[in-house]
Amino acid sequence: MSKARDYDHGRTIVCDASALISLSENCLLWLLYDLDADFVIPKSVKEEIVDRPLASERFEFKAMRLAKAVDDGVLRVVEDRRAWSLARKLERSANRLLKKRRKPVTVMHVGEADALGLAMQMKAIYLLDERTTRLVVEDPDSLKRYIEARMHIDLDLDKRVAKDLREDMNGVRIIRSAELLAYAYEKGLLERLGFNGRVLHAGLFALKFAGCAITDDEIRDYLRIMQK
Amino acid sequence: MAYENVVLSREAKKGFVERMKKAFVEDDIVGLKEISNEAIESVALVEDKDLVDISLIAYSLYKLISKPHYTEGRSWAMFVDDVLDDLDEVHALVRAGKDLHGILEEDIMRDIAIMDESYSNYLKDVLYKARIKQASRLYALGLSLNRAVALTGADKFKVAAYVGTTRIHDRPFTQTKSVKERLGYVREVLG
Repeated sequence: MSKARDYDHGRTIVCDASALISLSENCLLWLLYDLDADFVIPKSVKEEIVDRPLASERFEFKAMRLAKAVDDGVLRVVEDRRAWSLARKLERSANRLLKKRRKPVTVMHVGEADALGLAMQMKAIYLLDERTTRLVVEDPDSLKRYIEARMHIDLDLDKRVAKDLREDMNGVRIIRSAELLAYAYEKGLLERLGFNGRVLHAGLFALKFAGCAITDDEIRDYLRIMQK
Repeated sequence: MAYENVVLSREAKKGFVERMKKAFVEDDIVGLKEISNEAIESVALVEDKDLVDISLIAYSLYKLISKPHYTEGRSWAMFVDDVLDDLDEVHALVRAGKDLHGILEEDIMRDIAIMDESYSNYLKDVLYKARIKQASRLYALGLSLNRAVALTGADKFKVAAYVGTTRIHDRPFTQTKSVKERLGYVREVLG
């Protein structure tokens, strides 16, 4: 297991389990091999996508593909005490952001906080397909409005907590598996799959169907800008 | 459902159990589904393991009673009696303010699992599917994926795939930055 400080962080991408699941389900893990980046995961993500599923008949084969990426050094496991502490702090804050009649609404789990904490510690790009954590990081007010609309309730956004979170996160940049695919398409890496421009359309929808939180409108935006 | 009116007290749980028993006796598929959804929606705001179990049980019962190959099986009558007896016991325990975990998980869910295993045409059992469905419901309400999975005990791989087939990610307030901006982040790092 590596420490966060051992590598050049300039090309580091910290990965959440959600994005790795989307890529793996679509046999796109090879992108991690071909792209010139240091893909990093915290130990908890490895436990989630490799160790636990390897012990399950249902998911053993899926886990094997991800285990191979770890064994090949393509997915580097990092354990960092400061990242861990940061993650705990983030989780506590995220779960005090929204309140219903002064009672906090718990929206986030420690699992998501671990990868986010590591990305912050390493000042790295954060690869995340999951929606709620992204909203916590980028736009807590949108999360508030989303939950209010879905649950037909009124929530209060704790502005002080939101400000503290924003300062702690210091501009964490989030990308999704969709962005990696679009970048790979831009660089011609998808040509091996054939089908020319159609491969981007098919690939983005495949990632969406695997759980990547990308809208149909965003996919259309990609097709418009990438296929000029 | 008006979440404002949900009071997670003994009375609320008692209400769910009473409704579930009535719906089960009357083969009320819609009623059981509603109970399942209302119970899990309550959990979105207040973590309560009993309500998660009640939701999963109601969902599983709704699935079982909607399939003739279960209801026409030889064990069905005994299964119904067992579940109704257990629900009576749950009702008594709720009224006494006692813990429901044992009877919900070790009795009712075990009965459901046994019935399912005897007559199911599929490898994946009804409780397994209930967990995935209700986890996706929690995610649809705004909880994170890991939070939804942790509350329901569902498999994250399966929930992610299920969520992907819904319109959850196309709902308002979920788009935060443009794709151009995000692609720009990748280009910053990878060139």
